Amino acid sequence: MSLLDVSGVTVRFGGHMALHDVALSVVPGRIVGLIGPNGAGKTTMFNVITGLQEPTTGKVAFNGIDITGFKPHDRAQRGIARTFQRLELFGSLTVEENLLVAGEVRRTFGEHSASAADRTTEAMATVGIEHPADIRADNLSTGQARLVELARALVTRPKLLLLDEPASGLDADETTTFAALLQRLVRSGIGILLVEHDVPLVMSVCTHIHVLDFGELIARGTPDEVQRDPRVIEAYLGTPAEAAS
Amino acid sequence: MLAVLAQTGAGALENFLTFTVFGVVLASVYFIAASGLVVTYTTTGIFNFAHGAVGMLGAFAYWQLHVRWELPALLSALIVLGVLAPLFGFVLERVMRGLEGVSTVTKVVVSIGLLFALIKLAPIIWDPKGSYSVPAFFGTDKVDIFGAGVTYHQLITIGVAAVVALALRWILFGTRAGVSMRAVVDNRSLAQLTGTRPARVSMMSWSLGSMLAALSGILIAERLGLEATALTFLVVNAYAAAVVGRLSSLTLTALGAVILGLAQAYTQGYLQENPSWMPENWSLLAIRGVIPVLMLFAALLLMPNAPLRTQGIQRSREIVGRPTWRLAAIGSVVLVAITAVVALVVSDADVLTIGMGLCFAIVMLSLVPLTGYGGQISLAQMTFAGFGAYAVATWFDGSVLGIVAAILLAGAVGAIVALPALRLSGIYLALATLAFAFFTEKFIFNQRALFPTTAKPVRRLELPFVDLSSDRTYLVFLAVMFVLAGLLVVWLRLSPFGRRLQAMKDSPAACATLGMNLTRTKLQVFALSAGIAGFGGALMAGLQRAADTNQFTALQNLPILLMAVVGGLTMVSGALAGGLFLASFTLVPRWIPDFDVLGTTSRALVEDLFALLPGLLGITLGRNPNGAVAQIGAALRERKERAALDPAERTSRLPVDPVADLESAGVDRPFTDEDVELLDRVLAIDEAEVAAGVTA
Repeated sequence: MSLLDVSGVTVRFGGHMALHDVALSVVPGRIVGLIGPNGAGKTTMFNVITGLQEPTTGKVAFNGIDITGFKPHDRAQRGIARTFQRLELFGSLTVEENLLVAGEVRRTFGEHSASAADRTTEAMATVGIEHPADIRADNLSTGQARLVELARALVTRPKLLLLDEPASGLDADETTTFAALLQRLVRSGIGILLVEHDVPLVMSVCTHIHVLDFGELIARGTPDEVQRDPRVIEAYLGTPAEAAS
Repeated sequence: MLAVLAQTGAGALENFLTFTVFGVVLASVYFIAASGLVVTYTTTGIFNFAHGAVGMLGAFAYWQLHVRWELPALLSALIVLGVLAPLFGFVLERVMRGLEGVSTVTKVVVSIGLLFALIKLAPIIWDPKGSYSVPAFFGTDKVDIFGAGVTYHQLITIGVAAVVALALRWILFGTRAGVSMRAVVDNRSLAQLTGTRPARVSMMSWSLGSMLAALSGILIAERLGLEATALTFLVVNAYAAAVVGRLSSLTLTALGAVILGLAQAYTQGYLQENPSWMPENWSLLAIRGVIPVLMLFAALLLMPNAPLRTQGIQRSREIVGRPTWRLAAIGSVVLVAITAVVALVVSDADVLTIGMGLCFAIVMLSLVPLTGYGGQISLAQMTFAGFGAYAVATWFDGSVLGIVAAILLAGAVGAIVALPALRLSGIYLALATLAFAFFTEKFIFNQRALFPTTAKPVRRLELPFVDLSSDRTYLVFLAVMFVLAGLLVVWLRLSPFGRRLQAMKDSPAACATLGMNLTRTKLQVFALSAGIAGFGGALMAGLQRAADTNQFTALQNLPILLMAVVGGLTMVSGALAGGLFLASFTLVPRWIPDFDVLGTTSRALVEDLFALLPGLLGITLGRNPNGAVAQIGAALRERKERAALDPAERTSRLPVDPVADLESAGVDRPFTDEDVELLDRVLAIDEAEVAAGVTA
């Protein structure tokens, strides 16, 4: 059974259709990609899944439970965590405190086996940010801040992780390390939905890819299928030569 | 209503019509005032709490021109509306312009500061002992409409409202200026890119807002008379109408104004006697004055949830320092020691004033976790303190349980008040608390059953080992109580709860997506904060041996908030400074030698100045939102850092250069001293060396 099932989601802002009848699903232990040009509705989809945006129509099911009307914090309690494209760290707290805050949120369903402090240390080690623990979060570079956001999401021990452009701001080496990190994360059994502009990264780590354009789902399938899809090439990837690079 | 009509027969219909006309006239004034609020709020993002004060000033200016200087009515109105109000709007725009990038709290405080300054300015210019009345347009002549007498003034008021409604619609949708105004609302920087000038647009909207405020003031002055506080707080009625319009729709605002005007007219007309089912010493009649507040709360309950917006990492200009136990301990000892010395040397009257200062400081301390850490705002802390004072005056007769009751009662009241507004954004919580402060003043604290006279006697706390009956001992006791409350707040900041509050202020969206229940967190901190305020109120009542309702009026909340912010809301020491500042406004004039100057006395002059001071200081906050104590601390640290850097320190301390903050500097904003400092640190440049001409 899939972890996340989104079906028939439409979001209308006034006369503008941000998403139109979009469906997607994520299974545990796999990375699913969500790509598309700027303004295609990727972040809106994340907001719909996490409850920050109420869909005009459509359904979001998590673990088989219809969570469409649920509050954002309730969804998080059930195991959905995310990062933000425009970074939503707690700027006046230190890196360590950012993670501790997340770890100290009491669970509605069951309890964590490890303490908040232990999970914080573990998450920092996992993403490799032990050093800047005492620095205020608003002093971080974008690349560092993205890693801290990822670590903060991991502290809650999510079942589903939504990553909004996590690799932007990373250089080539860091991106390779980051790809390995993602692979390691899904091996623990969580599902990842990845929004990313770095096409080679998406093609290399994702088992399944959804392509959005102007709020419409124009293609879905394995990286190979998507890369060959003429509508995708036209809408997003440009020429085939570019896509292969 | 039908029953009433049937009983009294023919005269009843006439009455009903008279009340209805009266209601429509009220509605017209409320609509004009509320539309001004909506126009400025939608175009500038600043909710002008001083809107009513501007209207009040307009009415006084009209009186000055028309009655004192005997200019014709129409000419006077034209001068006020066409010249003075727009000019005032320009000044307002200047004041408010500095507020981009500051939190809602600072925005609210600046406009509250303006309100407070204006309300204190009016009696200085126009001696409150004088009599002021504004004649109606065309005197008392009436026309007969279905048997109800309608004055020309009333007709004109209704007509003006209709013209305002049509004109606003035309301006906003039919003119280029109006289209720019609406564009700026949607996206300020985008509008700037496409050639709109936001500064000019906001200048226009402030002028328009001031004109509408002045217009409503002039129209209502005929009925209300010229009394600064009453006219200023008429705006609460306008808030209620504007909230029905969700601060954005003029059509719904008009609907809100009509409902409000009619509801008020009918309750005033028909509710003439206290109903028999009310218990003794409780009066329902007072409800006539709080109809707008009830409607405001009803409208808040019907508002949809505010969506959580993502906003990027906030580089807010407000900085929250992290307290340390060492500093807290030193501060505590110093405060108690100094207070003990002061208690021995000053006069009896000064002991009481300084004691009041410490009580104010405890009430202000209640704002530190709520506003300083959590970013929520309350304009009713003194009202909660009043509930605390009521509790010690009523229950447990001087035992410690009385203090506990005060904390619990105030906390519970706080939680109930906050509930409707917590799920909404900051501005609505400010509105709800201010409205509640009015409700309490006009409908709760004036019930004979609760306060038989305006003040209720209180027995001072009796402790087993200390005798607090001397005012001097009680002063030291107050210092100890402040220390205890202060340590609680410091502990709170260092605890997980304090972290959570800070996180909630920085990014509500991130908190929610991490599983935090924001409503519950806000409710907890609000109840805690009200509880601390209740504690302060109980101690204050003990100091004066009376719970005096005059100290807990709605207006009293404003200097508390203003001076707390001036002291610095993010620190315990800031609350202490705020409380003592406030007390010093009573203390200092007492010490000034009294002599004649400029046709008045020196002491009266200083008193006038100090009356204005909380407001004026509040207005300047846009420039320095961190408060006085933080400013002094920063100045001290800066001096230390100006010393030559240790060579070992000259390497970049961050693993990755802090480019994020620098990349925008100099491009879309001018370099600040902090940018230069950051740049120096990154590049390991030593300013002292550069100045001396030494190169690496």
